[in-house]
Amino acid sequence: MTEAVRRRSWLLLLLALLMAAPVLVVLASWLAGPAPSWAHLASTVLPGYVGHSLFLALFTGAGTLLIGVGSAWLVTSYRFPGRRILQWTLLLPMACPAYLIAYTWTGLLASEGWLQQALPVPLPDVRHATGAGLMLVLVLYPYVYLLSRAAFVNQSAIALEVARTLGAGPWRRFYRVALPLARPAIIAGLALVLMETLADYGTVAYFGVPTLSTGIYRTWFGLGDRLAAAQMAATLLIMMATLLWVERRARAGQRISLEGGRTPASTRLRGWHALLVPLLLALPVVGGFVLPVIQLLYWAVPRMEQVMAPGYLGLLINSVLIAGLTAAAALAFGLLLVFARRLFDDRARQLASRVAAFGYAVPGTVLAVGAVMVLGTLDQGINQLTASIGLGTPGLVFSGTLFAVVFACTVRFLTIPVQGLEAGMQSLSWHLDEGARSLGMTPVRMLRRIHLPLLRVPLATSALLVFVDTLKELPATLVLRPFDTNTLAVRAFELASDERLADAALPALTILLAGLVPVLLLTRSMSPKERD
Amino acid sequence: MLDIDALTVAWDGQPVLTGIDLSLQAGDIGCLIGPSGCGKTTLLRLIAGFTRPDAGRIVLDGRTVSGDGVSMAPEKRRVGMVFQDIALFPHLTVADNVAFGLHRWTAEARRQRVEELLRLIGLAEMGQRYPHQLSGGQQQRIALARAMAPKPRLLLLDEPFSALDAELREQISRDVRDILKQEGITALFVTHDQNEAFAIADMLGVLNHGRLHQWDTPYRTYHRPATRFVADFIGRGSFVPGEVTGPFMVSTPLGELEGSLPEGLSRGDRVDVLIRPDDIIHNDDSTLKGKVVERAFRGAHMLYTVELPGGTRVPCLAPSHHAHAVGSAIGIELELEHVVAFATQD
Repeated sequence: MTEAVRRRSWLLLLLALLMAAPVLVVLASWLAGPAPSWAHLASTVLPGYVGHSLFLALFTGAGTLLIGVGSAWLVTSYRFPGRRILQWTLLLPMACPAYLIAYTWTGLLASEGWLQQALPVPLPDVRHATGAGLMLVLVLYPYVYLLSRAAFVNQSAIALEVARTLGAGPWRRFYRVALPLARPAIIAGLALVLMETLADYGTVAYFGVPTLSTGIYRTWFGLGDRLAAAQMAATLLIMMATLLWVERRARAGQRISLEGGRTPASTRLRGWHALLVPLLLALPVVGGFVLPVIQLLYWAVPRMEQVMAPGYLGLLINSVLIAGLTAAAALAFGLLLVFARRLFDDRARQLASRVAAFGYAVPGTVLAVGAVMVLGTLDQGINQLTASIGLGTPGLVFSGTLFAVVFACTVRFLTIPVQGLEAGMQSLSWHLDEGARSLGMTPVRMLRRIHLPLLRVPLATSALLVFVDTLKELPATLVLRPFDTNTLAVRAFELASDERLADAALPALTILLAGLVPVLLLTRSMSPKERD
Repeated sequence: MLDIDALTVAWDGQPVLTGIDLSLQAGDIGCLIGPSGCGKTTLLRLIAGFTRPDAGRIVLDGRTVSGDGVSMAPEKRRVGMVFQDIALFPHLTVADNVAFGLHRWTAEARRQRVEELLRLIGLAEMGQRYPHQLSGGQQQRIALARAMAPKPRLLLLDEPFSALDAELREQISRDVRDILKQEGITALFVTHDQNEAFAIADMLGVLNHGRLHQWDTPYRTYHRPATRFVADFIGRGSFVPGEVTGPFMVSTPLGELEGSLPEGLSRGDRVDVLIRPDDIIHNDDSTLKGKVVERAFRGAHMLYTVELPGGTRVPCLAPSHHAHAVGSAIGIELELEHVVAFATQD
């Protein structure tokens, strides 16, 4: 029995290979040599794509660092009115996908909008590259805030107290002690932000900013140049892999830190500081959450009766179906990978879970391209086969159905259950396994009877996260959905793109509400000792 | 140098420190000792400025730093501190750690000071290493050098050796005393280890439940304990019951003792008399006999617990070759230099 399980590692690798197939075919596109159109692309649109992507990365990186690290430092080292509320509301913008923020802000700033009617000064336009950067900053800074705040909180208070006894004022303590000690966490957060920025499709497509991400889409579907699109996707993928590597390294570096101790004591702000700081910190929350929600409600409330209309219900059902199937598939594969590693942690199984976890770094457009290539080839093969034996052609059974969407989303979000379950598994003592085995349990029975019930919290959390992330996912769904199938995200994006901003509000609000659930879970997990 | 005046602090209505008075001469090393939770670390944090007192005053070099409506920020006090968990900055080299407090010095003066201190602590070659590459004892010495570098007016040390193992602790506490004396630094230690306190301190303070029971030389806290708690806490010893028989006379199972007694006692009052193990000598010819009820081998010495005819038990330190079995009779003799007695508590 045990030997049989051991020998079955090839099955797992095959599964991992299937998950990695879209990425591999995209990378393999370079094997054919540079596409003939490269020279043309390079002299026309490509510099613009790369330039805008780099600009957005720089802008968003700088912006999220400023807001994320700044707010984390203020919230952990000072006391002021509203601190406790700000501490968790600063995470709220995470609930909004960037493309929703982009379209609500467009509506907010529109000349016929309520904000412009109420204000005497003309409001600026956001529909340009800088505007897209601002939108991305508004929804992505919480990554930096979350990780750097955790780093500041976990820093030993002693380090800062030592600095004080050595005559260091607040600025010197921040620059010379707190910031360098939190650097690994900050870099990890920044890497996540840059990955999301480069992967973003909805915001830049809506604002008409040509980036690598939208360029891939246009080259594939606009120009029909599949090879060039795949090669562009491969280039973007390598940038992502670099960022992923930076993030992993930074997290590993966090281990060199001061041990334990109390959390840093905070100073009470007095006078006008006590007023200015909370107002300043409220800005990103207002811009990234409060105002967009108000605007969406303003649009959605008069259309509430549409909730029961077949149009909206259809969208909801499609979205829930895709998200539910994806969550189930990701959870099943995740469990398989994690259980396999619990039984035999050999090279093959480590590789399998490593490969499976890479999907998160793959931008939706790249994944869509890869999935179309893999599934399209598969469908062609099937059709040729059935035609040759006289069974007619069944059509696009994989690439033309919901399967394609679910497959792509599973690849993209598989890392969530893998990491969640691995962490949960690590916290289970090996004595459990040894005890169970010594009582005569077979490995499979042990996993089912002991580990599965003990892992129900990470299982539930991972399922929820995959569900919500799939619900919010835009580019892969947009490309891969069957012809007449719409989801909430796709419909909201399409309506907004058609300037029907108000009509997009209901599906948009639904996505935002769903996105709120994991954020609220996150705020609850902020440990109680951090409160004062 | 350091004067503390009626210092009081309470948290959530619970008194943490009550009416602390002490003063430390320039160049002296003071030591605060007491059981855990007695408030000794809080006292250090008050002096450093991390905590504000509810009442009382802290005066440094003739200038009030806490109290009288004044509360100087820790970074302005020029009070150095060495912490229990060492807390070197992990991202800075040894030299940069030592130089951290010298940011207002010129580059040349800074370099010289760092070099001088690293030589003083015997780690001249280690400047470019990182803290995690060094041993615990080395890290502790660097933490000390870092705190001393800006020439603080006062150096506070919060159980600085508790993270080290016992052997290292003795060696390094001697080293630290030498270094402090060489630099002429006024310092205040916190510890719960008496041997450490005796080895380092010029002045010893005994704290319990937020009160300073005695602030005195180590010799006097041992031989002239001011309160029953100090007598109990400092050194080994036991109490034998006695009865006041005259202005300077106490009658005990060990005989009539003569010495000064606490005020307010009169003939017939019951007292407890402190007996240290070295107050009782083993003498086979003595008329006073007791029964050995326990013995503990201490290498050079044997520590006996002897039961007197009335049932009172006293410790007796004898040279180790004087072996008496448990249960056998032993002759003892009292060699008391001064009587320390406290009124018996009910």
